[in-house]
Amino acid sequence: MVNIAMKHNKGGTRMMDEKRLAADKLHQHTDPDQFDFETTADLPDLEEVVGQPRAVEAIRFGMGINAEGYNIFAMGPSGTGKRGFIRQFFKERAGDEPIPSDWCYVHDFDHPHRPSAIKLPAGKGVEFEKDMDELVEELKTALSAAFESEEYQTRRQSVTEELKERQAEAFEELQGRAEGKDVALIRTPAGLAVAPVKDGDVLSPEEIQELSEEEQERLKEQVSSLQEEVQAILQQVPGWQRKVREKLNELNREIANFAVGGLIDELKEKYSEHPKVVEHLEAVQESVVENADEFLPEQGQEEGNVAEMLRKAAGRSGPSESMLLRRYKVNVLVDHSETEGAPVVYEGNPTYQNLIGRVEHQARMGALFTDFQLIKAGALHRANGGYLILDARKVLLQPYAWEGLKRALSSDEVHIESVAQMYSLISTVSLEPEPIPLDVKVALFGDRMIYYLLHQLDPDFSELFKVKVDFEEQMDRNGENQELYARLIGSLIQKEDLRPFNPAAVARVIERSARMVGDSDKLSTQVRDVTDLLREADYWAGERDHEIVHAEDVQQAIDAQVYRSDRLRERIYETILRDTFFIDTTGEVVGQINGLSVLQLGDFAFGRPTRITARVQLGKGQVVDIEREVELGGPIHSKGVFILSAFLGGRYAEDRPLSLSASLVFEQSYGGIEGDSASSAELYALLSAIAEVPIQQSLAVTGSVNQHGKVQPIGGVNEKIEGFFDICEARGLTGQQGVLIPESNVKHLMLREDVVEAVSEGRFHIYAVDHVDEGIEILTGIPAGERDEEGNYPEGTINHMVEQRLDKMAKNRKQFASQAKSEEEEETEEEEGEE
Amino acid sequence: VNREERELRIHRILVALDASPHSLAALEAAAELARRFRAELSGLYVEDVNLLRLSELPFAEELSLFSTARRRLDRKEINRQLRAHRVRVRRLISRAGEGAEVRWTFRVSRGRVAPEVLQAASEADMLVLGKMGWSPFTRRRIGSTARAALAAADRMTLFTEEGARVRPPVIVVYDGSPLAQRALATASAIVRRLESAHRLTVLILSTDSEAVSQVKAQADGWLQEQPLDVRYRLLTESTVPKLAQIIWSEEGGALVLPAKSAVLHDDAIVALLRRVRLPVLLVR
Repeated sequence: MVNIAMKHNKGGTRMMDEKRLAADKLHQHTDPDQFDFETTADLPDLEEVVGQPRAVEAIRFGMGINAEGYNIFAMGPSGTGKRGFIRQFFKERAGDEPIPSDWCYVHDFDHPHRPSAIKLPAGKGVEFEKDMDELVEELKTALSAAFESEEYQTRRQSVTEELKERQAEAFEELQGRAEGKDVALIRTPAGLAVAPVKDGDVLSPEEIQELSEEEQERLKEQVSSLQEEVQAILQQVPGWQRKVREKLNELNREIANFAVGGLIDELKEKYSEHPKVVEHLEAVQESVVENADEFLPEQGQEEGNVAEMLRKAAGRSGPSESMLLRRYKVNVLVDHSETEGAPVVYEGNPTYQNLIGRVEHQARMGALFTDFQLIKAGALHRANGGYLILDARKVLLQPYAWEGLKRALSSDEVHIESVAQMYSLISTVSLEPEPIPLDVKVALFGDRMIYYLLHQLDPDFSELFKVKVDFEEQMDRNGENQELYARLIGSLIQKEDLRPFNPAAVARVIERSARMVGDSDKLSTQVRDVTDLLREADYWAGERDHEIVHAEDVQQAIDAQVYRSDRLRERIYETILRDTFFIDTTGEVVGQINGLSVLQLGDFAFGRPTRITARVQLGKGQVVDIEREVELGGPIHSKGVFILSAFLGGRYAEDRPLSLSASLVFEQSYGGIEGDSASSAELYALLSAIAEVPIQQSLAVTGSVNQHGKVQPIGGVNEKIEGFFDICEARGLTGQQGVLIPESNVKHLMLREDVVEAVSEGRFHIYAVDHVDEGIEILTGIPAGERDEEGNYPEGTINHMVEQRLDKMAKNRKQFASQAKSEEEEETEEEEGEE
Repeated sequence: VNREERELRIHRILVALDASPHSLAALEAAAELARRFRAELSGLYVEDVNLLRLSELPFAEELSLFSTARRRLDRKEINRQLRAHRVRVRRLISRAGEGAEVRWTFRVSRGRVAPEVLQAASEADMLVLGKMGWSPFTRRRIGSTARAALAAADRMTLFTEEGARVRPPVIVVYDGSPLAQRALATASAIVRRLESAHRLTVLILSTDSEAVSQVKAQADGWLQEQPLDVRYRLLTESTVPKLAQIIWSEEGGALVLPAKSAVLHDDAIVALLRRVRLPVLLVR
């Protein structure tokens, strides 16, 4: 093996030529000619979902399997069109599925606080409601007719008369008995008394005094015996009254039953297939008969009745209208009279109440009031028998909504409970409506993070959401997929009602899509971003009076997007160009290199060169990362620096201590630094510093490095290259400038058109390197050198220089160490002498 | 006799009150008539001397109507109860008088009820009282005061019972006698003041069919001058049930009767009074 140390010349080394990338590697073009359409208007609508085979498979499975807990969680970054995707699949399937039942709430006459739920075939709920409303109206007429009838009035009178007669008879008999005995019944203001009388007047005490003792005694006896009789009769009066009341009730029931029976029987016949309705109708009949008087027009209301006055003031009719007759109404909670197929519901505001339903209250005369009529359906009710789509994040943000949803799903019924009531926040009267059986397929969608957090932290989650639908954010970019992607673009254009795109415009969109995911072999499935681009390209086409959208409109849209976002980038580049932030793009310096970093601001990322410098001195073999020392460097960055020491030690100091102390710093960096993408640049700076060989400042470097010196891929390669290019271009391209990237990043290159152009014209260069040895040669123009058979690096190579310098440092250190040791001993002796 | 003289003059209406439901109906009727005739409403409450005597008896006891409990009745207790009644009655009459927007007075006297009422009535133009007093056992009975008034009052007397109001149409019984003529004039005066339709039903009573048309002609002769809507019912068979039936079928709101009639005996009048529910005015 012959190692010739070649002095670097400005024309470039062999290594440079070897590693220089051709312009066609920098940007994977999509050939518009591969599309056989004039404009996207010619494209057939895309039925299938593009690039999500796993998600499609999963959702089909999720919809098909009918077992408990097989609800769906669709995860993926936002903008992948998860909601639309789920809705599309649900709608397709729901169309062929049966329409679920209607649900009504009616008053439960035995348990007024527990309204009962009635299930009826779709559309029957409203009909039942109407029937009941009509029934109440008819009942009013029928009952008032019955109770105003001659027959009823006569029978009623005869019952009350009976009582009066009975009382009167008893007392007349008493009166008669008393008359013969000189005593009489006298009414006192508060009761009855028996008194001795003479000629209709009560005897005065004097008159009694005049009577003989015997007569007085007789009188007393007569009085007291009559009193006892009166008492006996009076004691019977309540009993008689009760009997009369009973008889009246019986009469009322008889009349009411007769008046009402026919009407209710008709409905019972109509709803004979629904036992619960029949049961309810029977209860209604019973209640109507019990409360028949409520139906009659009010009469003889005492004026000044406070409640009545208040009611009038409130503009409401009497209790019979508003409160009592309400009990016979029907609250149609879920009405499917106009539904086709199974319902697919998306609840955009999934609060606890919007999901589970609620019991509302009305203020009446200052008090809160509620009844079964005020029960309102939630999304679960509306989606029952079908599908419910919810945004997982929104559900989790709403207090109790997540727990409520889980409770409903695990118990298979919707139980309307007020949260405020549960926590005793309010204490008004409320209802416990009968739970409604639940049969619904729920699909949540959200970020992956939410899925994994729920999975880890909520034990119920994996029980209830067994189907994971994972969305890809990118898809392969091959010929077939590009065709498909063109059709996707066509459908999006159609959906958004945009101008048709010509093939070149479509090709540009596809290229941009690849750039979005930062990979020339992939395409973005983030439908939202693609749609934004289409919409904006359409706008620019409109501005230019284009009938169809051209590639230049798409480019304009991209440029405008960038321009709108790049204020900060411009400011940073300006500081570089005005030499506030020092970046050299010409010349050569020892221990100094241009590193590249990426700044992500919202949805916009851009690259920025940063000066990295290295200094070495004699030391104990450590590489000091200044960023880390001051806690500006993240752990991954530190890891990269530790790898450098390991590389240095392993490569150059196997048999002696690494006796240098090196320091690395990102110059003029005042924020945090994270990532290891600068570790190769740091290594080059370090090697340059050790070997005391200058590095070309016209080059910038990115790539991480491992312990063996292999250059590893990094992210944001396109932004980094463009970042350095922009600076160089602003200063004027010299033809020497370029960027070193890891070879494994070549497939990710989707560079801007102007960069590609500059490269093809030889004004800018991109070098793909696999090993630091290749990189250092390009940067210094001096070969790295390989060990010969004896294990030595050839003279004049970088590695040789490094090794020599390290060797020298080790020797120096040894010398220092022995010197220091003897000094130390002397000191010890001195100390001992003092003792 | 000119019309003004023929027309009844009612300046003062006496109503006998004991706070019983029937006497409340009497108060209502009296207030209504006082309002129509712009007459003075004069209330009388009699503290029954018999009650006071009763309270002085050593063995006087009272039975509560509700609890049937017995308790000792003494003078103080009776006085307290009477005072409570008085206060209540006074309040009722003041309310009725103010409601009718007429002058009203209230007087309390002590003594035997019927004589006191009759004596006070002689100073008024009309006496109004309930058919019964405080009897707890309301069958169709006439109370002792009402009986006394029937027999001995020297003013026209209106008998009322609970639940019956003075309202049109008015029915008057006419048998051709001068007293009946007076009844007719009274009824006519009431009708004219009671409603704008001026409905009056005249029951012509007579013993035979020939006399009936004569009597009717007589009534008709007088009534023709009156701005009234008159209906005649001719009766030759003047039994109480028959009369009651006609009164019921006419849906009468008040009945005006001559206090004495050759056709309708005193017993029959009492029986009729017991039988009908509407207010009955006996004209003297």
